[in-house]
Amino acid sequence: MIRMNDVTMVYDNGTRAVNKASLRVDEGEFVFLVGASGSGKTTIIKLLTAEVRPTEGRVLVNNYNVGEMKKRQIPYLRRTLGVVYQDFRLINNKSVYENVAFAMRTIGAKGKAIKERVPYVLELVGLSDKAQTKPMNLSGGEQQRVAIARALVNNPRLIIADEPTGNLDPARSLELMTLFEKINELGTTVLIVTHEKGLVDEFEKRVVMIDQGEVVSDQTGGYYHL
Amino acid sequence: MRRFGYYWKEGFRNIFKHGFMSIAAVLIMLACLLLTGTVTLIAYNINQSIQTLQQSNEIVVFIDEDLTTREAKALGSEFERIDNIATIDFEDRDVALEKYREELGDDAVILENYNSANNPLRNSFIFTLKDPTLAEQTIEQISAVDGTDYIRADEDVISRLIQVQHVFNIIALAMVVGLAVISVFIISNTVKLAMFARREEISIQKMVGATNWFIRWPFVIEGMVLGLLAGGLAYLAEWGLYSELTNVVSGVIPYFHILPFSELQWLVLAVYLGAGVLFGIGGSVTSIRKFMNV
Repeated sequence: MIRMNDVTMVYDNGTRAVNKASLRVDEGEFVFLVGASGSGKTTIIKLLTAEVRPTEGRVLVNNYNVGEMKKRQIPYLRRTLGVVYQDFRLINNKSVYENVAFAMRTIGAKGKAIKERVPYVLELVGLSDKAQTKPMNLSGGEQQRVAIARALVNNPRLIIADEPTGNLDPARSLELMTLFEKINELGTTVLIVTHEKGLVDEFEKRVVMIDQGEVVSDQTGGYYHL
Repeated sequence: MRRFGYYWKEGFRNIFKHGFMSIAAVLIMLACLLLTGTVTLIAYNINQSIQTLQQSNEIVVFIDEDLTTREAKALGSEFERIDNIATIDFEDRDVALEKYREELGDDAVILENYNSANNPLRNSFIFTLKDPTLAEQTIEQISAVDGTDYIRADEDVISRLIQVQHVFNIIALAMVVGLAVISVFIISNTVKLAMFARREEISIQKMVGATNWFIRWPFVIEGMVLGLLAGGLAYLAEWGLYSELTNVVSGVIPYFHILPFSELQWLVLAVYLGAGVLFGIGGSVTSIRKFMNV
């Protein structure tokens, strides 16, 4: 699923965002990636989604070698992933249904498959009754659930969420994490980047801590301790 | 095939969805095509006129008076061998005398003592040239023919006309190239603006695994359709503008011959549609590149 071996990532301006980090995530796992702002969490996400390439070391995601893969292969790696962002990244002039269907259309899915799959994922995230609503008329929690539905719709093997609860109140955050837990129980591997201690502690999952680009602790059933 | 249908559907949907930007892009392309096209057409007409003036500039060759009219006329076959000669007319000395009398009118009295026996005029050939720039070499070839006495050619006028044509061609080319560059710049920026409005959509498509061409095709189709529309409208506008211009110029400078639009219409239509498509697709594809690097 994910294999990072001694990975270093230095940006063009000389910033060393990741420093000899190693990480292994297996099929079906639920992992929290935690750390303070600027610790290198987002760069790790960018490495996993091939937005950036490692300067040193090897990054394997769903059998794609991010450092060596050709540019034209990147879309095929991304089809095996579902990514959720803090700022939702929804298209405001499309309805909830259209936002989710858009992700399927983009990879060339047939109309029939879209009609079957989209209602299913909307039901899974509890938004069946909001299918025709525009994102701007939804609460933050609902918008994030649309983003999760979009990430799920292409049946990815791995869901990566970058600070998904960053814009939500504690109650909505808890609801959302419960949803991720449910998705994980259905067989999808989940990697969540967060710095919300309370939430991490609540779920008692595997916690990988990053500090100054290095993996400083990795505990299953662990807690977020700074 | 299914994807191709999707690209067309998306392309057209984008045109209507971003209606204001589509109208702006079409209007800008139309203005650029019309401006560049009109300057080109004016330049083409002026060039044609200069060429006509050059070609109508005649070279007159007077034949040795020792040769009889029959012998002089026979020289025509030798002149015909010279490549650069476009037309040859023989003028019989007696016919020339009659013409001269007519030209003099009441003053023809000064010629009353002349007849074919003591005609002071000579037999002559009148030539026009295929390529006036080769006038000097052609005159040399003509004078090398036995029986040629002397040649009257306005070489200065010909070379001045050639100079005028060269200068004019440089100015016209500079204007057309300049306008084309400005057009591409304006069109590219208009499309960039349209792309900027859709950058979020493109980044989401990239994020969920769309290939670059999957994202690009609807934009290519959109650019092509808008380009065709702009090209078609520019053609219709040019039709009206050119006809109006023809009327005005013919009224002011009657001897300036302007080609009728009907002679140019298919060429203008093809060039406008082609340039419209090229600008539309080129503008879309180059502008989208920036937003694809996600």
